[in-house]
Amino acid sequence: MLRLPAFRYFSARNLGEAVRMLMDLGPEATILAGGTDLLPKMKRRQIRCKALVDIRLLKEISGLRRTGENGGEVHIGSGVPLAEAASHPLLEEWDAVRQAAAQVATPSIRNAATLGGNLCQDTRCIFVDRSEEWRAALGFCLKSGDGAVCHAAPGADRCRAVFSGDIAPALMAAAARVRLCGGEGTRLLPIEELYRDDGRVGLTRKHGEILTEVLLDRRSCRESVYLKLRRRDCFDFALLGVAIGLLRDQAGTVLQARIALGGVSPVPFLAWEASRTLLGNPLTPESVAEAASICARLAKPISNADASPSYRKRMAAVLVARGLEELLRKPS
Amino acid sequence: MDAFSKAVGRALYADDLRLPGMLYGKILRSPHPHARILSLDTRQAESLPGVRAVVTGRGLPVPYGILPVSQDETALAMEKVRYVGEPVAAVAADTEETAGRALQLIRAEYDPLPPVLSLEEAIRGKGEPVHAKGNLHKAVSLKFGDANPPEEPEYTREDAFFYEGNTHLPLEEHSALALWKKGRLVLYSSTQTPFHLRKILAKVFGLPEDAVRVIAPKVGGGFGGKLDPFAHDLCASKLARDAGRPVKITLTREEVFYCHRGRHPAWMNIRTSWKKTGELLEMRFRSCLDGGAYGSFGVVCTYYQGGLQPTTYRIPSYTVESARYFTNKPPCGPKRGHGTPQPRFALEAHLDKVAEELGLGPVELRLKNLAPPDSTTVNRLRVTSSGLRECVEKAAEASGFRDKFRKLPYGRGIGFALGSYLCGAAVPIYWNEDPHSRVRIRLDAKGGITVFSGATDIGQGSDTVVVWAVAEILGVPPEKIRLVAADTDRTPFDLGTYSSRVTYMAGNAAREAAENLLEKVYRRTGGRRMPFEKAARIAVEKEGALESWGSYKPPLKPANFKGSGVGPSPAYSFCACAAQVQCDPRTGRVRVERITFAHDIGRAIHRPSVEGQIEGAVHMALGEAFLEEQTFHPSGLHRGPGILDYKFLSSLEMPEVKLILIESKDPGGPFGAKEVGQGPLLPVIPAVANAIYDALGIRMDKTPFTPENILLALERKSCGRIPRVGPEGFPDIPFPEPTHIPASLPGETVPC
Ligand SMILES: Cc1cc2nc3c(=O)[nH]c(=O)nc-3n(C[C@H](O)[C@H](O)[C@H](O)COP(=O)(O)OP(=O)(O)OC[C@H]3O[C@@H](n4cnc5c(N)ncnc54)[C@H](O)[C@@H]3O)c2cc1C
Ligand code: SF4
Repeated sequence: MLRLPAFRYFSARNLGEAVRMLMDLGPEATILAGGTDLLPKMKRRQIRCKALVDIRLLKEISGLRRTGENGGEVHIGSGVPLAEAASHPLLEEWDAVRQAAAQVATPSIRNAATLGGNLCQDTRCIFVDRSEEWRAALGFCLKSGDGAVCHAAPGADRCRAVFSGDIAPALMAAAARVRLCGGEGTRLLPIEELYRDDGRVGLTRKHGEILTEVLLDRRSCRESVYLKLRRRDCFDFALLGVAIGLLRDQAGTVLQARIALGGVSPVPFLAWEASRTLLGNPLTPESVAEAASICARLAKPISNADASPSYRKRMAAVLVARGLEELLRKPS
Repeated sequence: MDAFSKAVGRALYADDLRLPGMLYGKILRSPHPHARILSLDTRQAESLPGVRAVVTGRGLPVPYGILPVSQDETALAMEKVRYVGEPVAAVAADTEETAGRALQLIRAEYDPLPPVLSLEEAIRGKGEPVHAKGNLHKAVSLKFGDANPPEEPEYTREDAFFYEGNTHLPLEEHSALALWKKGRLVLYSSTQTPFHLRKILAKVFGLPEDAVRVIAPKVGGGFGGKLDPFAHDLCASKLARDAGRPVKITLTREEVFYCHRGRHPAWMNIRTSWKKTGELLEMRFRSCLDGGAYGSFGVVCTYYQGGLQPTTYRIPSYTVESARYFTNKPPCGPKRGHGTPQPRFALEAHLDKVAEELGLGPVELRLKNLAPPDSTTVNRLRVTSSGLRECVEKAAEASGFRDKFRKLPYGRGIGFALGSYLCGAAVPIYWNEDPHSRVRIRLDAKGGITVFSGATDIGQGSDTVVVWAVAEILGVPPEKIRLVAADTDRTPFDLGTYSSRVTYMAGNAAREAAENLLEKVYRRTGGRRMPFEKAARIAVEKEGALESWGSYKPPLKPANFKGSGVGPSPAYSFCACAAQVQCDPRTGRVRVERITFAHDIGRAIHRPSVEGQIEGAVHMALGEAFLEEQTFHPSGLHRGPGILDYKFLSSLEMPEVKLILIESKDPGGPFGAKEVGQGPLLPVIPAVANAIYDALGIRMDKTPFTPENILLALERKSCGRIPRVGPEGFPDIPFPEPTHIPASLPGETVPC
């Protein structure tokens, strides 16, 4: 068995204390939530941190609640375990979010894993999610150490390790916002803005900032669906994640559309070009096909996951079409 | 026997064991697939506080190997490293952490050589070969039966196949704990073969065998991956001697992938000739194995490529050519089914194509050519009991095969295939005349019954079989019987857990020991009728205890040609499998809806264990069919040496398995029983390939059947090309002239 390296462990009792601990300890300290992403990477010496600040006891990040007019807003604490998110009654109308949470990893991991950890998980690449000996034998790359090459795309000067989290695309399709709380106060931002297009450090989160909650608003999205491509029906990370959120009027006219793709680039992203083609009309086989083929064009995976890039690209069209067909079958 | 203790976590595996003063060992492994070792400087590691012993190749120079003909490994690489992950040095320290740090302090200098990473490269043979004698490890060429087909063939077909390599993936990572007591070595190891390991340890340490004691605690799965002696066994022993303290080495999951000894990648070619009416006239089977860096069981595997085709089908004229090449990858060896799943896949998929072209049903074609019971095959194997015909008929009927075949809607399909396996190799690895299994039973003063068996339960349930056999004969409940197993000091000799031999051989030995005990007991009670427990108390009154022995030796002498030792068995299991699949032509994903499986078990001694073995084999087979690949990066690195990256079947992809047990009551098996540990893996893979053809009209002539390859074949189909994915032809290999073994050999006896 691989063992964890030595580290100092701090358990914060409240949000303020957690932020203070992180600020005091400096950049060598990292947030520990469920640990299901962080600890395996520490064991493989991919992430080196000297101190962990455990946020699992924070009341401020637990549970779900409803607010807003007619209760149209749902706040999900970032400490909510995925098993809970997958079946929580307050998320009943948020199909994509529930479906995404339910398809993460395995049942035992979903019991420990949190929503915040899922959104803040590290990017992945088959050339870095390996033991230290393996990486050293191959030679370190842009992300895995002090190397200057990329093994997945030799010649590339930028790391394109993939963000493979399932829930982020689902939240993007639902136009969710996230709240971050740090030394300089709180900020609320659209979930897209949490991410940046850099495989090495994919988050815009500043040191000391804790993602405290996710906000969903019924006014931006009424129907949604999440589809995941992977080798097996459990355990595996997404080779491609497709989330679609729609707002349609009674006649079925699409008022808002958001198609988000995950697992094919360093950031989960909204395929605006494809989403736009759906606006102003009811869904038709033609518009579905068009949106699907645009998505396949926008998905630009490289050879750093366990299926070929061409297959994943091709599947973007299939999954987007399937997702839209599924929504089309449901009454709006 | 031990389900409860395992379920609640009370069972002790090698890594659970701790001894006072115990040190932790770790192994330094090669980062290069092929390189000369220029220097190895361990001084810094040795001087690290907490480090108690360091060993390099020079400290363990004696070569060994599981087969007498392949003594080509040393515990630690000597001059050259031959695969990424090959052990080069080992340390023992007070803590795991210190041992890990010490490894980082070892300075190893290498001169990298161009690696040989594929069969093609090995055959081409440019650059320095993997071993001095060249990359070709073994080439076999045999011709059996009629020199020419008995009649003029009316139809001939040739196909090429590729079977990807894969590994065992036992849940328990290998672990070894060594200590020395008064010049004697004691090793606890997760091994399938304690007695073979004892032999190798004795050889390497220059000790008589009885100065070595090997104990297999609970073993968490083996599937053939814990058969070979390993570097960690030898290093733990050596470090323990040098440090004067017990040393334990437990592998990481990644290291288990480097130990490997799993399924050989195989490039195969099969050509058969037929009468139009579906009678098989001749077969030529060619196979080329990618063996990895060392011999392991490879020679046996090479012979097995052609070994068991004739136990299911009558083949009048049969030619086998098979070869094994060395490459710079972890050594391949025996995995469930040994060298037979690859050829079985090729054969059964080929038959499906033949049946279609001859206009016969796949079941009908097979039924026409079945090898009969009580017969001798063309390659001189003696088949005794056979429920094969019944297996075929029952599986076809229960799956509704005839109603569904070629009639299901596009995307859904059904396929059929057969299998057969040995019930223990009739020839031991080290040739001698001794029994293959012995069992001792002791009846003590209070009537307690203790069974001593050297058979090793690796999770397959052999402890249950041994105890149940004794319980059945004595007429006492199994719970009343204690078992001492797999300890070379305390239990009698047993060859170990491989070749599906334990139920048949240790089971027979247990049965005989119990019968002998029964006789002794009733002799002492004057033959009066009474329950065993009462008789036992009377019987031991005088001497205080009673003992009895049983043993088993296959009643067979192999035919006298080179290679005839591979394949003979006192009996064969048989099976038939129908697989029903649903394919998604847009994503290329295949869901197996249902497996219908008929297995000739001879007799089920413990039905839940039999069913568990079949379901487990189906699970493993589907993993090999769809997902599993032990493949390598051009750098020679394993692509995904981890349990998340190496894709095995999850429980969610497991289909419903409909089981039919056929009890043909083998005359030589204990209570008529035969094997079930390996055979059921065989037909599943080709049955699935045949089902995919029925569903989509594409031939998957290469494992694993990935979504990408399914889409590729569909694309080829839609643009009018041959709708298949697989290799073409067969490589050019310098096979020797075939040795001809005619239908009967002069002076040969094949006793039953
Ligand atoms: C075998 C396996 C399979 C997996 N499969 C999937 C999968 O299919 N899909 C998927 O999405 N994920 C998968 N994961 C990854 C991981 O389990 C999940 O993403 C999980 O949700 C992470 O949550 P956690 O609470 O365990 O995060 P942790 O491991 O505790 O944290 C992950 C990262 O986020 C940071 N972090 C955690 N909480 C916060 C917060 N509130 N604010 C700011 N930063 C924070 C941590 O510092 C750390 O860097 C898998 C993991 C494993 C081991
Ligand atoms: S994408 Fe390239 S640089 Fe980034 S982690 Fe993978 S191999 Fe390294």
